[in-house]
Amino acid sequence: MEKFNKRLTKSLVETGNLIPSTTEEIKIYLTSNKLEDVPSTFELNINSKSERAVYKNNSYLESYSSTEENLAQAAREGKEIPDEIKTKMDNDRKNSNPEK
Amino acid sequence: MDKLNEVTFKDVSDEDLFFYMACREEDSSTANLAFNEFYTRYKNYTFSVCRDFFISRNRFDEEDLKSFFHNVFLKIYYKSGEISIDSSVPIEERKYVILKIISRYVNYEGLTYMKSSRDPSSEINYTDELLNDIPEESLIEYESIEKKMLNKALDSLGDRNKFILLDFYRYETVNSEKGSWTPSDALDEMCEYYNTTKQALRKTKERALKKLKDYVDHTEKLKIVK
Repeated sequence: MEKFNKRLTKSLVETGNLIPSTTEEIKIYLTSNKLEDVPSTFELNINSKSERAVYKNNSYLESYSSTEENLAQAAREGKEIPDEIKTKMDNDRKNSNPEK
Repeated sequence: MDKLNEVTFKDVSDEDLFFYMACREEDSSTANLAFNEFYTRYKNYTFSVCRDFFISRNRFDEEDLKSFFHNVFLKIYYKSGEISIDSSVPIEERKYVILKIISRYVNYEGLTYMKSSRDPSSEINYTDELLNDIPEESLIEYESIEKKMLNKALDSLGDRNKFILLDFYRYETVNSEKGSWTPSDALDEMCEYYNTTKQALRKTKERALKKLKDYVDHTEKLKIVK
């Protein structure tokens, strides 16, 4: 796994999936990626912008819940499914099939 | 900008630019000039890694990317007094030290970005633990995974598992004293963001990594057979 881990790290850096964090990774990133010029609309000036910008379109939260994980964990450990998860599953099922 | 100052600042070292930026209370115009020079030198790298961060999380919002880019530079400006470059680093390698610092701030602005999905005005405090030096690991000798194969393998994980795995790679550090560890602030943010526990996150990472390895091994074996 160690060898695969290093192959994966290198490949993730090369493809821009991972921000390079060591000198070697930065060299790999610069060789694999052409740096893009900052678009003119992105140019900033510290004189006119001295405060943090607020993220306006980041209200999105991943829609997945922890239900799937809890179920998988319960199955692996041979445990009973907790009542609250059963209730949630029932509700999810009803919501996804409202006509039934 | 005054022509004389412009010429003068172009010859100033990065270390001195940090010093002038740190002295902004005493001399704001010099600090601004130093910032403008620093920005000119490193804006394209910073923009490229910020853009890549957004793409890797399937976020394509230009307005937020612009804010992200702005916040990274702003953070460097206000933290300039805490940034130092080891004098033993050879001059030709110093550029990489600056790029490492920028990468680090981009990664941790990423945590703030996660946090802001619950509270838009919240911000991560950059603690010493978060800003620890990352040990160098040799990767050159390892064979890359073919790009198309890697992308397919990552897609096969689904968004949630892919993001969790990438977050561990972003925030996990291999440290000779602590082994492989993730700063607690980063783990806490991940737990909040993914609405799960540390243990569940680690298990998701292990399963995703195994699935990725199996996919790559299997596909590479098939290629050899063909």
